[in-house]
Parts: sequence; C-alpha cells; structure tokens
Amino acid sequence: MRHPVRGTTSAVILFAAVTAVAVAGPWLAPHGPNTQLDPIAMASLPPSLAHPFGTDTFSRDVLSRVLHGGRLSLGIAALAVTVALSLGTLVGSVAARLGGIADTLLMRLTDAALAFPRILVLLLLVAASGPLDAFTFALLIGATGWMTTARLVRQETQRLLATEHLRGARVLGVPWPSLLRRHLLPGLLPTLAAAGTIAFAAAVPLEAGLSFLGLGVRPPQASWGNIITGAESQVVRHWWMVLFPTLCIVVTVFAANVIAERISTDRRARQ
Amino acid sequence: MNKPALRVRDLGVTAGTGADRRVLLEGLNLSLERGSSAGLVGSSGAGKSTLGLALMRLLPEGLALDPRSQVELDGVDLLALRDGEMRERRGRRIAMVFQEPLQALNPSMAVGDQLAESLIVHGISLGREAEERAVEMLGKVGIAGARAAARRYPHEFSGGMRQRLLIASALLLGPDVLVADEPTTALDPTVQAQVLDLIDALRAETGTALLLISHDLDIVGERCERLLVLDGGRVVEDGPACEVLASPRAPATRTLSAARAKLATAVPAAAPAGDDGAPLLTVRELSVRYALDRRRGDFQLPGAGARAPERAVVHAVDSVSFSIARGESLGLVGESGCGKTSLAHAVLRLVPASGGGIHFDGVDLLASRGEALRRLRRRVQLVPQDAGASLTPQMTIGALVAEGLEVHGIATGKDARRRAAALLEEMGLPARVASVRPRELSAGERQRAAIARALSTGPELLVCDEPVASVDAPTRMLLLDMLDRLRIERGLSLLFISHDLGAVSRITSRVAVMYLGRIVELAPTARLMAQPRMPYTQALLSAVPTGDPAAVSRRIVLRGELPSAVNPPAGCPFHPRCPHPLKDAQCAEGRPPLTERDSGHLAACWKQ
Amino acid sequence: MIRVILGRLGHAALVVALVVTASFVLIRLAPGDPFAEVFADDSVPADVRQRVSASFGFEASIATQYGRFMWNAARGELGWSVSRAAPVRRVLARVLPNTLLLMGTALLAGLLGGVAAGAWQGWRPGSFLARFTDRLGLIVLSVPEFVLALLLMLGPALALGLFPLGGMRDEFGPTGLAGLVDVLHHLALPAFTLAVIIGAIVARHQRAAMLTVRDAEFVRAARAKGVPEGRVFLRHALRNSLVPVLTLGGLLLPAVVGGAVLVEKIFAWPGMGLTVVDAVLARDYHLVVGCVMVTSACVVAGTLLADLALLWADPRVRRPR
Repeated sequence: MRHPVRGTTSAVILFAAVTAVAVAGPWLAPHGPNTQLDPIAMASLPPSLAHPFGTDTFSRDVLSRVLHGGRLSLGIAALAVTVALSLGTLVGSVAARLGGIADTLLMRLTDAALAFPRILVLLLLVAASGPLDAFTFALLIGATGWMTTARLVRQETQRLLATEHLRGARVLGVPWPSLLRRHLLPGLLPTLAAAGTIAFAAAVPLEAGLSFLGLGVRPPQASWGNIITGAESQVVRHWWMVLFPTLCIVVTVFAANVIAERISTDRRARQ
Repeated sequence: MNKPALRVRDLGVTAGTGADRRVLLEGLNLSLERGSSAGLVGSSGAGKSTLGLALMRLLPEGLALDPRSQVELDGVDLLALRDGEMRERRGRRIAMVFQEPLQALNPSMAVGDQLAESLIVHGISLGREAEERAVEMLGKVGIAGARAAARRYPHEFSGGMRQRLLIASALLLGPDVLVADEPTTALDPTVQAQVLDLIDALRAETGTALLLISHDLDIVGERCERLLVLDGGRVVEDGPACEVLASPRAPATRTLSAARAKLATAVPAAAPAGDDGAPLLTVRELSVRYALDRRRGDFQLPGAGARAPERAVVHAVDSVSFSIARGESLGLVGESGCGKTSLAHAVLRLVPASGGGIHFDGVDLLASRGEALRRLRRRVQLVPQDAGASLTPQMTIGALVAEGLEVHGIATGKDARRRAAALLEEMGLPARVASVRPRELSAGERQRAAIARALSTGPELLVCDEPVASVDAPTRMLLLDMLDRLRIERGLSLLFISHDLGAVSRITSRVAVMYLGRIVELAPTARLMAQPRMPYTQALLSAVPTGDPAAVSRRIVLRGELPSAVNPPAGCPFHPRCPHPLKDAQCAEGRPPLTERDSGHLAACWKQ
Repeated sequence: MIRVILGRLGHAALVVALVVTASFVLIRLAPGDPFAEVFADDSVPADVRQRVSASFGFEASIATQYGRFMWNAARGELGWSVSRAAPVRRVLARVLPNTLLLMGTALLAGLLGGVAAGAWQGWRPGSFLARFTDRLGLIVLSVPEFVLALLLMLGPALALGLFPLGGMRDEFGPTGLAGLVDVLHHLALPAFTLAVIIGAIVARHQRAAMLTVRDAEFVRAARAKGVPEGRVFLRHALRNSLVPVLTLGGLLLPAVVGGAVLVEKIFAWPGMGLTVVDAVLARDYHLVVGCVMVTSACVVAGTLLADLALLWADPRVRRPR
C-alpha cells in the first residue's frame, strides 16, 4: 500500500520560490534594510499599500528587512547544512567502512555529541566567544549538527556495503575507488538529500531562535529571527513584525519537511 | 446431509477502478467435500493468493469482490454475512495458513498466547484452560518441551517450527476448511515433508477439508485428491489429481507439467572427455568459521535458543575437500545451513577461510593479494541467485557488462561497449537492453544479463549460486540449457550450488551432498540419484515431491530439526536424526571420513 | 539481562564523562579565558575568589585543570555564579526541579497525545481526523517553538486573560493547596506549548511505524483467526508499532530540552533554560557551563530510561537468539 505524501510538488515549488526570492532579495526590496524613512512619522506603522509589511520601531520598511533578512537567514542555513553534511558524511562513511573498534568509537562519540541539546551548545559557544559574524555563526550551527547525518549515512552505507550488487562488483574485480564511486555513491544520494533537507529544516529555526534572543545575527543586520525581536514587548500591537517573518520561516521549514518526508518514504518503499 | 464443506460459484475479484481496472479472478467455481483435499496450482501472478484471501473476506484495500460471487461455507453464504458474523467464522470454521511463518506471527507476543488467543476470542476457553489447550496443541505438532516453548517468542524458533506453530494455530479449533497458501515454499525439502505430513495427520483427526495453494504440481499431486489449475484468473482445469497430471488438457497445465517432466527425466551433463592433467580447482581441507557475537545481532541460527552463549563460533564449512576438472560441472547440494553458500564465497574470496587451501590452476588462491588476486578474479566468476539484487540499480545493463572488460583491461570505451552488446545478444537479449536499468527487465532477463556480466571477463570457472531459484519453471529450463551450452562451447567448469535436485541432475556430471558444513557424499550424478549410500542423501532424495500419492507413505521422513552449526553433534553430524544408526555407539564417536565405495563414489558413513 | 543493563549504565556514565570533558574543551576553546576573566570582577567576594581559584587551579597546567574540573564536576562543585552571587550548585538546585516539572508534564502529555494521534493517523489514514491532525502536526513542526510560545502567550494569556503571563507563581499569591493550583495554572501554557511540539514529533514517527505495521502479515493472520478489530489494533498493530517510537526516545530528549530553553525564556518559567539564557546574556560563564553540563547529564539519564523501556518492550532485544 502506498501512502504518498501529498503535495510534494507544491512543496518543491514553494521551496524553490522562497529560495529564489531570498537570493534576489536585495534587488526586490523597495528600500534598504536599514534605511530609516522618517524616524517620527513613520515608526511602527501597520501594513499599508506603501509598506505591505508595515514598518518597525526604527521606521524601517519591514518588507525590505524581511527580504534582506531572508537572504541572510537562508544563507546561514545553507552554509550550516553544507558543514553538517560534510562532517556527518565523513564520520558516517568512515565508521561504516572501517567497522569494528573504529566504528564503535565513532558512534559512541556521536551519541555523546547528541546528548547535548544543540541550542545549549550554541549558547555556550556564543557565551564564550562574544558577538559573532554571520559566517562564524553559520559554521558553528553546522558544527553542532553533523550527528544525525552521521547516523543516517552510517546506516545506509552499512546497508549498501552488504548488498548483493556490491558483492557482485567485488567478485568482478572492480577496485575499491571505482566500487565506491559507481556502486555505492549513487545509492547513497537519496540519503544525503534526506539528511540535507532535515538539517536545513533544523537550522532555520535554530538561527531564528538565537537571533531572536539577540545572540545570533545582531542588529542592525536583519534576520528573520531578530525582526521578531523588534516587536519588543508590544507583540499584540506590533503584530506585523511577528507575523511576516514567522510566515517566511514556517513556509520554508514546512516545505523542507515535506520534501524530506517524501524522500524518506520513497526510500523505504523501494527497499 | 452431504453438503460440500465449501462451494464457490462465479467468484470474481477486481483491482482498481475506472480506467485502471484489472480483473484478478473471474468466474471461479470450486467445490470441496468434507474432509477432502483440493490443490490449486498456477504460475506466479495467476491469482492464487487472491483466491485464498477472498474466501476469508480479507482482501486488501483496493481489491473488490464481484457482486455475483458466492462463497458457501457449509451452506452459508459468507459474502452475505455481516462483518461480525464473518469474524465469528474466521479461525473457527475456515482457517488459513500463510507462506512466510516469521511474518505471520506477532513478534511481541509469546507463541502460547497467540495460540490461546484463538480460543479466547471465540469464547471457547479462558485463562488457564486456554493455556493448557495451547500447550497440548504445541506438543501435538511436535514442538519439544511444549510448556517452556509456549512462553517463547516467534523469533526463537526455526522456520520449520514456526510453520508448525501456524498450523497448530489454524487447526486448533477444528475448522471445516483449511486454506494453505504456499505453506512450504520457504522450507527445505526434508522439512517440507514433515510439515505436509503434519497437516495430513491433524486433518485426519478434525475432518478438515484442505485447499492447498501452490506453484508446485508435484506437492499438490501427492497430497490432494482434486487438482485445479488457475491461469490468468480463471480455472482452466479441474479434475482428480492423478488424471490431470497424467493427461493435462489446458495449455497452462501442459506448460507446468512439461517443465517438471523435463527436469525429472533430465539426462545429466556429460563428463569432460579425457583427463588432461591437473584439475582446475582443488579444495583441500577447507574450513570457514564465523565468530558470532550476539550483542552485534549477528545472523541467527535455528535451534540456538535463548541460552546460547554470548559469543560462539559457527563452523560453516568444516574440512571440505574436492576438485573440479577443466570443463567439468560439479553440483553442490544441501539444505539451508549446510554451508554451501559459505563454501562458494570462500572460493570467490568474498569471505576469509579459516583453514585449508584452495588452488586454482596451481596458484594458491587464498594467498593471492592485490594485482595477483585481481588477475585470478578474472578467471573465477559468479552467477548469482538474485540477479536483480546483484546488478547495481543505478547503472545501465550495458555499463554493468562492460565494466568487467574495462576493469581487467580487456577493452575500453566504445570497444568495450560493442563487446558487451555482443555478449548480451549471445544471451538472447535484444540490443536495446544495454541502455536500460535492471529494474526494467523481467527476472529471467536479469538473470541472463548477470550471466553475460559473469562471462565478460572470460572466466574458466563459473560459481553458480542457486542461479535458477528465483525464476519460474519454464525459465528455469531455458537458463539451465543455456548454461550447459555455454559450458560446452567455452570449456567452462561449473560449481553449481543448489537445493533443487532436478536442476542439479540436469546440469552436473558429479554432485556433492553437504550437511552441517561437511561433504557427506560425492558421486557421479546419475549414480547418486539412483543409489545414494548415505542415509541423509537417501532421505533428501525421497523428500523431493514426485506428484505420486504413493510416494507419501514410502518417504523417509527425518525426525527433528537441523542442529545448530554452533554446536554440531559429536561424531557423525547426522547421527541424531539418522533413521538407521549403527547398533553400537560408533556413530556418536569419531567423524566418518569420506571413503570410496565404488569407483568415483564416496560416502562418509560408518556403515559399509 | 543484568549484563545488558549494566552495559547500558556504563555507556551512560561514559557519555556523561564525555559531556563534562567536552564542556571543558568548549570553554577552553574560547578566546581569552572566560573563567579567569570572571575574577577580574571586583564584586565577587575575596574569599570566594580564593576558593574557586584554588579548586579550579587556574595557574596550573591544562592537564591539572582538566583533572580538577572533572573532580569538581563529580563532587558537584561547579563554581560561582557572578550574576546570582551564589554558588552555581545552589542556583541549579533551585531551578532544576522546575524544569523537571515542566518537562515531565510536557513529555507525558506529548507522548500520550502523540502516540494516540499517530496511531490513529496510521491506522485509518483516509479519515478526516487523520488527515487533519497530520497536516496540523506538520505545520506545528514548522513553526519555531519560540513563535509558538509567543502566540500562545498572546492568545489565551494576554488577549483572553485566561492564563497568567509568565513566571511560575504569583509573587504574593496563595500558599499550600491553593498555591499548588496556582503553580499548575502557570504551568499550563508552557507545558502545553512543549507538549504540542513533542506530540507532533512523536505522532509523525508513530504514524510511519503504524503504516508499516498495518500491512504486516501477522495483522492479517490475526484477523484470519477471527480476532476482533479492536484487539487487532491494540494488541497486534499498536503493540508492535511502539518499538520504533521508543527507539526515538533517545533522540527526542535533547531536542525537547532545547525547545524548552526558549519556551522558558518567553514564559519566564524559572527553570534551567531561562537560567542559561540569562547567564549567557550576563556573561556568567560558570553558570552557563554548569547549566549545560547538568542539563546534558539529565538528558543522558533520560535516554538511559528510554533504552531500558525499549529493552522491556521488544522481546527480540530482551532475548536475542
């Protein structure tokens, strides 16, 4: 019985749209992210035709900030995912290939790393190093997120190494580099795609949360998370400062989750 | 009143709706008298399992019964009943035994509880009484230590025992009809005989009628009074079993019958003419041992039990010696767990050997490394059991076949592709196959592609690991013919591993029988099939179904289960189950060596 | 069996040791020396400065510092909190129970709700309820937890005034039994926020597990025996689909604890999460490290419990062949 994840196509389109808009952000934005329009008259205005997303307490156009912020937030997430995927794949594949003690050691290490709640580790690192630039921030997020990928890659690599087709290729005399490239790697790609989307769906809210606390992307730079902080304590009155960045985050993560789920279901069905 | 136990009229099942609508079964009529037995045969896809499920009203989602269908169980139309009323009858009046015993048992429920469950949900017994009856039934189906066994879980039993559990569960309430859907397909021949005997014995007590569904004409011919043949969703033949087998009328029946007849009367392959020089492959005292670590969840063995030690050594192959001459085809037979696959893997250098030696054309196979090993690999190739699994799904067939040429420097690029295409053509595969992926081919085509791949390096020895086990009977014949032809044309040697004695008798000139990691008999094929010396071989041969009901009573049915390879019995490995052990305790001490009885016929038995 | 339990305990101990080591390494990796820096601050009493400096051995070699650090951690000596002017140990002892209360309630509600929802979604995937909760769950998972907390604060608390705005109890409020009710009143929203998130994660996994199990041969075999649908669902399908979810348990905890951090901050629930965030903002390194270590150790303990539950649930694990 197949239970397809409905709406995967729409999810992919949505994801692509968000990414495109994010990349194009600065060109689409009507104003600069920090342009203060009129500090007195234009502060904290609700959405209108001139300012579809309203303005914030510093009379900056929220739409522009969301667009610029989107590029930053997604860029940080993308970099973090790259780091997490690379580290995770390295650890996972080495553990699977070497087996024995090396495998046990690496997996115990992964378990220990997983025991730390990720946000706490990041808080610790931020506490220790002070204000961070976006690049280092992204690296840190990535460096704390390799564990899930490592597990997934290890499991899948072990499975693939034991398959009949790998055994058949060994019997044929195919040397190891060729073996890995032609017979193992193509089977690993779906897992990497799944791990990547999962990592992405985890990185975006993490960045947003830390920026919200003031510990990630610091003002005046915009990120989806710290635009929400801009609402300060007037969450009800300044609802537009919360709603629009939230919608962006929700849409992006939702799309990523749906895609990740579809890849996993496909993989399970094919086995 | 002599109402038939089961009467089916005009049964139809369709799948899907609208444009996707497919007819799985159509206009099916069937009548089963009380206590009698009928067999339903058909090749895969004919709709056999669907019938079984339809009778129980357990069709999966997406399948629907044709409203005209009628299924009368003891006069009551099952299809007109309400859900609750039908549920009452399931298990109690009509029961089913499934194909894969491990999948059909709840893994988190003790087996005793699963048996007692039938009694409880039908309100027959409760609590302690239900437990007692369950234990009693376990004993009746031949499970030793029934009381303790009742508290164990399904994964702690072997395949044969699990099937007994399913049978116990099905016949516990003494239903009017038992539907057995391929109950022995997953089992070895000797276990198969035990299980089928058990079904007959229990049926005699409870008067249950049997509907045996199978793809194997021989099993049905032996056990059933009537035989129905299913083809494309319709019953194409229906009559007394012996008549249908003797003179089949429908084309489908004739195809099935012809395939089995050919295998039964197969002429074994001719031994190679002349003995020029040394044998191609020499195996001497080869042993393969695996270290089992339970904590790592290593592979499971039958009968290891919950009290097996944490770490154990499996003697998969135990001091085996044989040789294969150039152009000769040697068969290796045995049941699951006998070590034939491990032996094949050792010869292919896929697993390390723990002792002994293998020499290929004078070269020490086990000591070769690196470049030397690669050169050897070129000369020894594998025809796998499941070609679908052995062909990398993301590569094209052409690339897979050409890879052997490229890796060994025989040809590259366009030249390699051309030669690969030629090989595929030789296997009877059209040229377009080179650019498709494995999943787009049928099982038979994939197997041929796998053979092409194996031949690409120009090997001298082909190790065939159950190469025809996963295809149906007609394709089997074609593949075997092809392999034999290739052997003669190219002067190949074959190491043919199989549990299918029919296939082995077709394509080998000598055959070795393995049991618990040792060769217990080795002889020219015709001689072994006609006059086996070793009691195990005798039992193995007699276990193969022949389609003749008289064979059932003549059969040598072994007691008990295959012992654990972790703890093989002392002395002759077979002696605990041997029907004729020697009177003194000799069989329990000292392993009998493989000694020559007549020329070329070796057997490992203390009896002369 | 005992051997297996001891094995797991040993594993957990090892992981905790690794956690403490990693904390040490992380803090050392930071530029400058955050621990020593603290003592440039004059507000710390001299005798405290003396004691902590001696016990943590700032002048000694790295190896000695590490040794002392581990020894201190084992003893529960976690340094001095500058922002709270108290030993870290005492600060944590005060706030840990609050977090446990919050987490415990949320986990209980979330697990029960999630298993029920996921099992239903997997059992009857076509039904309206199943599809609705499925979509809802996916949306909930996509909303960052701090936004969820904000929204819940806006709605029921701020706008409708049904729940208090934050904190754990009213400052000058009732005591005794009425005080307990007051705490529960304050607990409701933050626990609900976390429970919804936990429930969504658990439901997804439970649903996937149930979808696999419902097609299993033994489910069909049970029906063939005449077992009624309800029992088929509970004893055959659900029972066997729980195993994957319990396996999830170990991975779930760190994620949930992480989520709790932001939720506590927004609802001002005086727990570990709030403490650690405030400590970071105040650059109180001893407190930060102490929080992280203790929280991680708790996570390891929780994972151990989940592992042991798995041992009970899956006979294949309990009595492997």
